[in-house]
Amino acid sequence: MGWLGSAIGASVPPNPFSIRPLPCAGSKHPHRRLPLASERSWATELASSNRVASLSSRNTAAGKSSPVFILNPDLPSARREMGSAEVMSSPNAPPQMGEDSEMSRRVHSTSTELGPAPALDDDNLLAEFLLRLPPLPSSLPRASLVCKRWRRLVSEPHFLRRFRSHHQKPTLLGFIYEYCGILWQ
Amino acid sequence: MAAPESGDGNNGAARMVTLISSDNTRFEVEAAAASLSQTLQLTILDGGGGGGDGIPLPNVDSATLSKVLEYCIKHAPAAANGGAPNATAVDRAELERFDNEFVNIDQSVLYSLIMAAHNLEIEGLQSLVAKKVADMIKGKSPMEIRRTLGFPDPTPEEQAEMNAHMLEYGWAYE
Repeated sequence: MGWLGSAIGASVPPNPFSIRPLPCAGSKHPHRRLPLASERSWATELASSNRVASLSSRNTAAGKSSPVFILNPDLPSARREMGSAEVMSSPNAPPQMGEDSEMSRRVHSTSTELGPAPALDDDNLLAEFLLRLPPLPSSLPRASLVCKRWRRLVSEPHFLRRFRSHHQKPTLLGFIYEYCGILWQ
Repeated sequence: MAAPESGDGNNGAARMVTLISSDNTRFEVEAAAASLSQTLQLTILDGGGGGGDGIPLPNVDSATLSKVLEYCIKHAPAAANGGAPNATAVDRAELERFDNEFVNIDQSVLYSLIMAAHNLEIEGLQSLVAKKVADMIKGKSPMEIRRTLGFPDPTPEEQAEMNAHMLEYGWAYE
């Protein structure tokens, strides 16, 4: 576990591009499925991930513990929300160009997530890969830590059912459920 | 899956079809081999791809297509036999060996193969490349997986989340 670096427990300096506190709550995203208890601790998860960059507010918005979601600025709803964001000095202020382009770059790099592997952008294809991981107890937990999209995919009940039937190992599912219960609550 | 030429039964010689890659290279293969692709199978059953026409495949470049066809040609006889009552253990072992070598390739080639197999809906190849990717990531830590697949480094937030998680639940990964 070499990557467990010295950053453990240390406060992380806020990333200037990623901080965009929004006064949002789950109700502002009707397309978002009900947040599971599982997702609360993971701050950032959205139903349709590819056009969405989601960022944690843990280190930013003072006293705020709810997740902050930033939609792709191209979307009208995102525009609207950005307009009412607290960072804006005034609701009528034009978007600052420099920041906006940084923002879209950031959104882009997060939503595509990986450069050389467009094949991994497709959830269906990704599911095919992950299905074929060996049915060891550590396989899916590891995959779920790779990134948020993987985590969302791996914790979907549909995926878990497929994983079980692919490997014909019913006992493993028990472990995963138990694992989720411990992890997500 | 019935091989189309057995349905036609018009002559003894295997029917050939022409596939045209995105960079306009023409590939002539047996219809039985091309029919491993569910997408092509329909076109071929409709009588397409014969003669001078060719079936254009705008999503697949010639390097990838030749690789795909290599797989198809190798697997066509086994697929045509269906349940393969006459396939011996030797044949199967030979196919397995071929498969193993087939996916022993550069990652960029592998990705284009994945996309091609997906677009052409070649079930066996999809499964083969998916297995290969799974093999690439199995037994690795999340960070190793990210590096293997060429993900960018995690953002500080992601890193912090991972660290916090591992601190608490690291035992689950032993």
